[in-house]
Order: sequence, then structure tokens, then C-alpha cells
Amino acid sequence: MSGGYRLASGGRIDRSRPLHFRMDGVMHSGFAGDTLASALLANGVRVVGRSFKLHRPRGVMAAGVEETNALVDVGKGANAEANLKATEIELVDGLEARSVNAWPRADRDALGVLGLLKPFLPAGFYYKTFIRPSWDTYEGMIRRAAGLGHAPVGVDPDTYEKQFAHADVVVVGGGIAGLVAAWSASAGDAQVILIDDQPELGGTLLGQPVPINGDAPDIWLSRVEAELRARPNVRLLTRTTATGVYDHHFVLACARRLGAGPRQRLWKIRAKKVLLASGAFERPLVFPDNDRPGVMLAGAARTYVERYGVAAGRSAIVVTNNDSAYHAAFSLRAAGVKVSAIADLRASPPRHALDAARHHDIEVMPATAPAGVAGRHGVKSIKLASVDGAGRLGAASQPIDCDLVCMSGGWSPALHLYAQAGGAMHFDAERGAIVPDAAFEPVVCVGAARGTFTLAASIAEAYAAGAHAAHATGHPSNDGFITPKVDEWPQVAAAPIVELRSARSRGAHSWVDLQNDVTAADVRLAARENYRSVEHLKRYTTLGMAVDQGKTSNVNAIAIMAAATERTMDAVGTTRFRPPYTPTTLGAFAGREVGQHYRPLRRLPAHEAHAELGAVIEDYGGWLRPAFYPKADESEATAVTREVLAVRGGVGLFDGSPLGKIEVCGPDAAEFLNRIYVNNMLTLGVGKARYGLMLDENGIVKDDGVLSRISADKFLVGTTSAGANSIGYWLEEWLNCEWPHLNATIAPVTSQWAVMTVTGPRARDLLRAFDTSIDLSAGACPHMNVREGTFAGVPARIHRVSFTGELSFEVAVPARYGQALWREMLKRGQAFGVTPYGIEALMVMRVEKGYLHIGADTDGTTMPQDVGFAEIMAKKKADYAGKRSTMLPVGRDPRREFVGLEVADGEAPLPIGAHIVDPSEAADTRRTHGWVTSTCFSPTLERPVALALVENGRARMGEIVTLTSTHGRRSATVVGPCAYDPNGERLNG
Amino acid sequence: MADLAAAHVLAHVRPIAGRDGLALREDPSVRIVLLLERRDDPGFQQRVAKAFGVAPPTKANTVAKGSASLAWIAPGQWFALGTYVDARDGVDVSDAYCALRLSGPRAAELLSKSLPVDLSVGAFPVRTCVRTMMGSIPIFLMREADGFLILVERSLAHAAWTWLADGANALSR
Amino acid sequence: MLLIECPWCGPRSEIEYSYGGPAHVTRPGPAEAVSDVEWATYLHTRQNPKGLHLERWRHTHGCRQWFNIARDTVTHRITAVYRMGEAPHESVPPKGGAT
Repeated sequence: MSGGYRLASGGRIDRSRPLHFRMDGVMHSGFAGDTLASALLANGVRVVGRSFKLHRPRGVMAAGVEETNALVDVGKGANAEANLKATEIELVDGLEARSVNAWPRADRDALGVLGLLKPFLPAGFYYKTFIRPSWDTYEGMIRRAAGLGHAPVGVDPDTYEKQFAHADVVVVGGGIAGLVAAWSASAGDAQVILIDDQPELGGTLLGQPVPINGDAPDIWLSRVEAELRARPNVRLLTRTTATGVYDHHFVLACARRLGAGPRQRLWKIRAKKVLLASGAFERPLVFPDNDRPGVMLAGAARTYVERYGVAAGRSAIVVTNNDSAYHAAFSLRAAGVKVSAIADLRASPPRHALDAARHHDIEVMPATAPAGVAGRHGVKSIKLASVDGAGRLGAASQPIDCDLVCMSGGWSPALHLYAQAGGAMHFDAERGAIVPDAAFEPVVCVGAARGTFTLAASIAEAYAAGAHAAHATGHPSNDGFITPKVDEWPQVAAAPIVELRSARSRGAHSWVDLQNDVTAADVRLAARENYRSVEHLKRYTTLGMAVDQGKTSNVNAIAIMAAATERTMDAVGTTRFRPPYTPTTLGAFAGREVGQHYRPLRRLPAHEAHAELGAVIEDYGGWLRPAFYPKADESEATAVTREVLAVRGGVGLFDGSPLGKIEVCGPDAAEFLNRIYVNNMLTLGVGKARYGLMLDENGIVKDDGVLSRISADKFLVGTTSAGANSIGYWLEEWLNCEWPHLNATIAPVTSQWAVMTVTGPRARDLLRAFDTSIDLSAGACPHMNVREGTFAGVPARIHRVSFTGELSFEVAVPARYGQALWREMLKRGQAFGVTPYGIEALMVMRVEKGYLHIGADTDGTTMPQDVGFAEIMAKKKADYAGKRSTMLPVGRDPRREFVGLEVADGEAPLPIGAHIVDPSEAADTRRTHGWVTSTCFSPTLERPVALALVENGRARMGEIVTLTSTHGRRSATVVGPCAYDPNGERLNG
Repeated sequence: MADLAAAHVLAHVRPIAGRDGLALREDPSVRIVLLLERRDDPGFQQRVAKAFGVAPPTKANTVAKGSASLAWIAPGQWFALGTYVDARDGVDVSDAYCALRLSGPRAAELLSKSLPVDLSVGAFPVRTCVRTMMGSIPIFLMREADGFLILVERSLAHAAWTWLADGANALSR
Repeated sequence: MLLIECPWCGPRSEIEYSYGGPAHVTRPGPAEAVSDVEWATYLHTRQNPKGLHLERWRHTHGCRQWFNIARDTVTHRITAVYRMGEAPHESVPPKGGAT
């Protein structure tokens, strides 16, 4: 062992289970029960990281989630995790860690020289300096120098889980307050979930033990834990961090798992009551050079001794403004560490503390504070000075040798979750802490989280809060809880929170936010430059913006700002806390909703039949649909051309099952639909179908489709595939909210029916190969008609509608028969050369025909008059959704209208999105006169075809327009949208 | 006689059986009729009661059992579920859904991975039902004496199956 | 994530619902009798209050029904739930929020 800082006995580690790990490539060892931080300290590793901006050497400062310095990257490649706190990493065998922001390693960092530049890099330096010619010039260089860990490379190979849970009471924090609260809340039959981020319950007591009933606290803790585990209505979640408390008692908690299976599990818990027993964080003191490796929070130094069996140094000085650090001094002394003195900022420390120090033979120096620390890569000595109540330092002493400075500036309740939930806070000078306001129901704080710093008071408070929560959720609690006797000091009035400052200490820096290199001077500079608002302070200096989110720095910064601006702590206020409480892996939020589960795709009833044919299947609006059916090694273009020509010349087969189908029934069904469509739907006869448009209330084209009347009071609304769900909801909204007096029902039946489209001049021949009760002759079932009956022995509905421009039948059968129908149609259609075709061929054919495709040829400004519905609108007297908007002046202004564009022989298709421009307009004010919305090469016409929205397009037929795009300039002639069979003769065969 | 064979939605997957007592399979025998009560139709509930031998439940999210199970899904709307269901009084939507049966002691735990609804027996006893989201997939869920019946839109059946099967895998580790 | 009480299905998680804007927005008509200003106000003018807000929600992934709630936009406290067509709950002050 390089350092030999591991104690021979004591702590909660398992010395029979040694573990080996690497830090910056160097092999070290530790024990089961260690954190990476405790193991590094045991191995004498003092410099564990570099600061964000200045690359100052930094050591472990804390022992928990509030750690600000000891950030490491763990793992390799895709498995890597960035910016983890060494204090939170449970040591496992083979762990590989690297310090962040240091190269080649933390103690020999090549950019460490930047630290010398601090006098020239005050807060806001970047904003003031790197502005000419522009920030962009410098950004790359600065970002390379600054920054923390590295993002993992590749797709995360780990899996993550989510779990919903429901509870009467959620208790956050497994320290003594949390355990007691959970105990009393669960004494009846209330469902209680206790969440704690550590591997074992006990909280602060694990590292800073206080005798309970005259024994070590373990005995009492294990009894309470055993009782809670035995209760069937209690769930204990350890290694689980409550990351957020959201509205209406919704708690998010991330559980870390060891071993095989999902690496983390995100708990989504809906509670009726939330009790926050999250404890408190110890505050650093703000004094010159307080960032040296070896300057540590006193409670952390004690925790390393008591919990991990590690002495963080061999010779310590304790500096404090409160009682708690005395216990750290005693623990260190008991572990064999030399404790030279306790420097207490208070002029007269309480009698119990002085007596105890005398008992432990440790000198107490009242009204004394640290004035400077030497030792760039680790504390070598400290200077002390007299101090007054405002933090003004007297003359500094000679350096006193030491390698560990244990500091305590008081305790700050961990109110992050409380504040996230909307709880208000105020500064309590007596407790020296920002504490929760008394009455805030959504999250009730207990124990240290409420500013209650004695165990006896915490226990009483937690017990009452737990019982109250149980009663409030309808669960009486009544049990034999015996309040334990705790041997502790009374709570005394807190010392003021001050910066320790000497008029003579120029050149030294007193750090407030160590991770982001923010000093007390930076805070005062922000005040001078009028960034007095706490939110401005944060953004100007970056204080509290790092991985630790200011857990140890916020309160000190507020105190310094308050002093600098002569305001109260409350007048300065706190920044808004936001979830997550501590950095949480994005994978946990994604859960299993990655890869194929990211967005569940819909399958056609005949999915496998398409796949067997070798169809190229793609995602079209959430449906997996055949794009085309390549033969052998056909390219897409060749396959699509073949499919188009097969339809035009013979017969094609298309799976149109996703088309939206909604049954609207009832005596008022016709009236209801007439108010929905632009078209007059009252005049639609039974057995007839009509193409219609629907608008939103802004008069914008929302969806189109074929409406058919099955019987007098039964209609089938056909929507686009993409609109199948949303139009169903939309119809319900009108009926539910606007016209509830109309007697109609709405039943979405899209998935009930498989729809096979048979289209082409020989379509009827193919259908005649099947038995059907429906007369499909042109006379009996003309274009735009619908018939019900049987087809191939099963119930069927046949529409004569066409999106290809050819004679078409849409045959709908119950979905279970869809696959068999598809196969039979291909089989029996062989005699007629039937060809399956996909979406791409369909799109070519509809562009040839100039059929509108909502969302491609229309956008959020397109009104029905723009797409040729002006006449239909003029004829319809009745009101309908969106009608009034089409009458607004905007509806009469020059509008972009739906037209076709024709190019000269031999030219390539127009690029999609190419803009129509007027070359006579000056280049800098040139505007768009419209754009190409659909474009392709027509195999049927053997030339390009295109559709466009063009300003005043219908009045410009025959005009040659100029188009521009990244592919250069083109010209085209404005024509009607329909390029193929404009009279529609082929539809009516 | 039908020329066409009816296909099971999930003919291509193998049922899950036995792992942690968890069993998941498609039940193609379930017929589903959507009953929609029109306004001004006072005879509706009586007609339904006569057809199914039980009145449609008026309490939200509960199920009444007659010749078919009548499950409340919305005010004035019920699913009639069973092996033989007369579709005369409603809309046959048997093919719009795929019916899955999930059972075993950890069935509720598996569902709770992605369902926001409290599935404890106290909150969701036998003969209650709910429409909700299973992750990104809308489902209808009903608790019966021997497990859960899940209805998922036919087109999303494959996605729902793989989602549940993957969840079951994670459950056993 | 809010917990919203559907008037039919009871309390359910927000993910089952969709927000539908302010409640009690009256659609003017018939179209020919409505001025441009009146129509534009109906389409676009909303109060966006800090505090009590009467608003429409839909239990999209449950019973698919629309209803109204009274919600405080600061605290998210929901003080009333009532069906479409019903007047605002009596606990709601008369000049509560929406137009």
C-alpha cells in the first residue's frame, strides 16, 4: 500500500474481501463496503481531479452526493459513464476510473498551469473578453480546455427498467428520521415505500454515530430495519435515489442494481403523502486556499474513519463554527490521528464542547479561524488567525504543520425535493440554515431536512409526521414504538455564515463553488456589476451550475451576496431547484423504450404475406407498409416503374388496410357529418360515396377521405391512414363538447377491416374469380358507390373509389381474413398478371392524377379554396367546422393554389421544395411565390410530373415560372394538377 | 362456406409459459362487440339485459357477467366479451383487437412496469376493467378470476407481445 | 405529473389525458352573422391567468370523454371537476379565469 491510511480495525468495510481497481491506470486495492473515494484515500491518493476552468488540483471533500471535486469517468467505450462522484461509487473488483478534466492524470495535469491565470479570469471574463471578432472564434479552444468527463462512445449496451408503484406514504431518506417516519406510517396497513440512496439504511448515523440506548446505533438500527422488512405493507428501496418530487405527490426514484439484468430501474411512484427525511449537508468554510487537497468537510473526515476505516490524514486541524466538528476531532484522535487543535470561530464555544475536548486532550482555540493553507498537491500546513463575528481575520500565525484540515461551516437541510415540489423556504438565523416554511402539504420535511439537528427532536418529529400521514390517508396507526434514549449534545444557536477574510490576504482565493472555480471575490464582483439577483449571480458566475448543483456552495454564496449588498439572506433568496436531485442516467428515463420499443409500429393483417414476397417494408406514419416489391435485384426505381405500368396496363393489388374507418350512426349522423365536412353531406344517398375535406377551426385543410352512406342512419367516415386515430378523437370532441344534443354515436373500426385495393383495367376480371353476393357490374356498382355483402364466403364491404385513376375496387373483409384474401387474390389473379404494388408506386400514380395528398401538397396555411373547393363552398349554406375562418380577409388575399407544373421534354423531374421566384425582384427582397410539393418521373407519360402550391396559381395557367433550389434554377409551365386521363374516363370502366 | 382461412394475429410467436409462473398467450376465441347506447333510447339497457342475461353495469370500469362479460368502457359504452357474442345490438370489433391472456403470481408486477394504474387486488379486483396505456400502446385490461385479459389493437399486437415478452425476461433476472 | 380525477373513471395519471385549452369558450355562429373580430377573439384570445384556470381535459386513453376542471396554474391544485355542459363548480368564484 502506497499510503497506509487504512485503519487496522473499525468501519463497516469487510476486510476479508479485498478488491482491486485502477485509478488513472494505477492499480490500487480496497475492500468490500468501500466507495471509490474511501479506497483512494486509503491508498493515499490525494489529488483526484482538476477543477472545471483552471485545472486546480483537487481532493475528496465530502463523503456523499454533495461531493464537488472527486469526479471520475468509469468504464470504457460504450460502457463508460461520465462525471460520477467517487463518493457515490461502490467499489467493485476490476473497477476502472479516470479523473475528469486532467491529462495525463490528476496529479500531473498538463494544463495545471492555467491555475496561475486565476487573477486574470474573474467571473464573466469570457463574456467580456472573447467578443471580437466573435465568440465562435474562441469557443472550440475554450471548450477543449474546460469541461469535465467524456461522453461514452457507442450505444449503451446496458438495459434499464421502469416500474410504476402506488403508495399511501413515500418516505425519502433512510436515516433515523426516515426510519422512524416509515415505522409510524406503516404501523397500521398504510402502504409505505422508503427510499434511500445508500446500500444500507442508517443515513448519517453510519458515518457519524451517536449512542442510542447506551449502545452503538447499529443495534437499534438493525432492529428497526428488521421490523420494517417484516411488515408486508412496507417496501424498502435501497441504492435508490429519489431524483424528483413532481405534482400531486409523484415521486421519481432511480435504483441502481448490481449483478445481471437491468442496470437501473426507474420507479414512478404515485403517493398520497410524501415525507422528506433527506438530512442535511455540511457547509464548507470560505477561507483563503480552502480548495487544497486535504481540506475536507469535518463530517466527511469522521465518516471515512467510522464507516470506511480510513484516516484521511495523519495530522489534522479542525476548523469550525459549530459543535458537530468536535466529534470529528474525537473520532480522528481515537483512530490515532494527531489532532493539533480545534479552531472555533465562536468567541465562546459552549461548555459541553469545551469539556469534551478537554476530556479528549484536544486544545480548543476560540475566536480563531483559518487564514491560509499551503500545499499545492496536498495540505502541508495551515495558518490560523483571530476572527471577529463578521469574519474579519487578524494577523496570521506561523504555519502549523498538518496534512488534513477538517472544516465545518454549519449544516444546510437538503431541501431540493421539497423546493422542486413548490415548497417555500426561509433563512432561520437561530438554526443557521435555510429551512422549509411550516405549512406545505405536498412534501413534509422531518429531521435535519427541517433544520432539526438533534436526534431526539428528529425522532419525535418524524414519529408524529409518520402517524399523521397514515391517519390522513385513512390508515390508523397504533404500535408499540419505544422512543430510544439518545446520548447527544443540545442544539445551540448557530454562528453567522460569513466569509473569512483578511485585508492583507491579497492573491489568495477563497473558493465558494470549487467545481466551477467560483470564488468569494467573483460573488462580490457580480454584486458590484449589479448581478444582484440570485438567478443572475448563478448565470454570471456559473455558481451552482456544475454536477453537484451547488449542494455545498449555494448557502455560502447567498451569505456573501447578502453581505456585499447589505441585504438579508431571504432578500437574496435561493435559485430554483429543478429535478433531478443528482445526475441521473438518460438510459433510466428511456427504460426499455429503445430500439424496436422506441415507437411501436403497426403491422398490416397481411404483414407476413408481404414479407414473404420480399417487399421492402418501411415506416409510413407509424405503420409498417410495403414500399415496393422488388423482383430479384431490381432497384427501387425499376420496381416502382414496373408496378405503375402493371396497374395502368392490367391489374395491381394494394394493401390499403390502414385507411382510417370510423362508423358514425344515429338519426343525427347526417347532420353531424354535414357540420364536419366542407361538402354537403345531407344529399349523399344510401350506397353512395363522396370525397370530402375537413377543416380545423382556422379553416385549414385537416384531412380528406371518402365518406360513404351505408344506410339512412349509418355512415362510414374514411380518413387518411395518418388521421385514423386523430380524426376519431376530433369527431368525438365536436360531438362531446360542441353539439352534445345531436343523437349520433362514433365507433372507430380501422383495425377491424383489412382492405385490399384491386385496381387497373382488369380489376373486375380478378374480382370475378371469387364468389360474391355483390353485383360488381358497372351499371350496378358505378364509381363512388359502396356495397355490402359477402366476398369469398366472408362478410365484405366493397367501395368503388380510386386513388390511382384506374378502375378500382376496395374490398374490405374482417381483418382475420386479410392475409388469406391477399394470398388468394395474388393466386387467382395470376391469370390476369396481377402485380402487388407498394406505397411508392401509389404515390407516383396519384401525382400523375393530380390527387391531393394532405400534408404533402397542403400545409398549415392551406384552405379548401386553394385546392379547388371554392365552388363546393359557395354552394353550401350550412355552417361547418372552420367555415368562418375561410371567410376572413386572409382567405381572400392572394393565395397559394394547388396546380401542376410541366417541364420541357427531356428534362429531369423538378426538385421537391424548389421555390417559384420572380427574377425581376431584387435579390435581397426576393420572396417565394410558392413551391413544388410533389414531384416524380411518370412512367406512364414518360416525362416528369409535379404538383405545387403557387400564388394565384389557377389564374396563371400556361405561364412559364422560374424555380430555384439548391440544385440551381429551372423553369416550368403552370398547368392543371391532373396530368393523366384528365377527363377520368378510366375510372368508370 | 368461407374460401378464406382466418389467421391468428400472433400465429408466429410461441406462448410464454411457466417462467416464474407467468403465462402469456393469444386467445383467438374471444369475440368482442362494442355496445353504444344512443341518447333517447330508453329500451337499450333492457334489450342488452335480455340478450346477455345481465344488465350492462353503470358503474365505471366494472364488469357484469352474463352469457358474455359486459365491461364498462365509457359512459353509454360497453364491450361485450365472450366466445359467442350476438353482434346485433352493437358493432362487431372482434377483428379490431387481439386478445391476450396473462396470468401468474407476477402478472400484475409485469404490467406495472408500464401501466400507470394501480393493479393491486384492492384497487383493481376481479371484474374490474380499465382502458389505459401500456407504455406507448393503448390497451383494455380486465381482471378475471384466473388472470388478466388484455385487448390491444390488432395492428399493435406484435408490438405489445414483444414488449410484454421482453419485460417478462427482465422480470426473471 | 398531475393526478386528474375523471368524472367517470376517478383519479388517473396525467399520461392518460390530453389538455384541451380553456373551458367555456363559446363558439359564435352562424358564420355569416359573426364579425371578423368576434371570430378572431373566439379563435385566439385567451386569458392565460396566473392562478385559477377553468380548462378542458379529455380522458384520451381511458373513457375518451371530455370534461372541465378548475386548476391553479401556480400550484396545480385542482379544486373542481365537472362535466361538459355543466356550469363551473360552485366553489369557483364567478370571474374565474377563462373567457
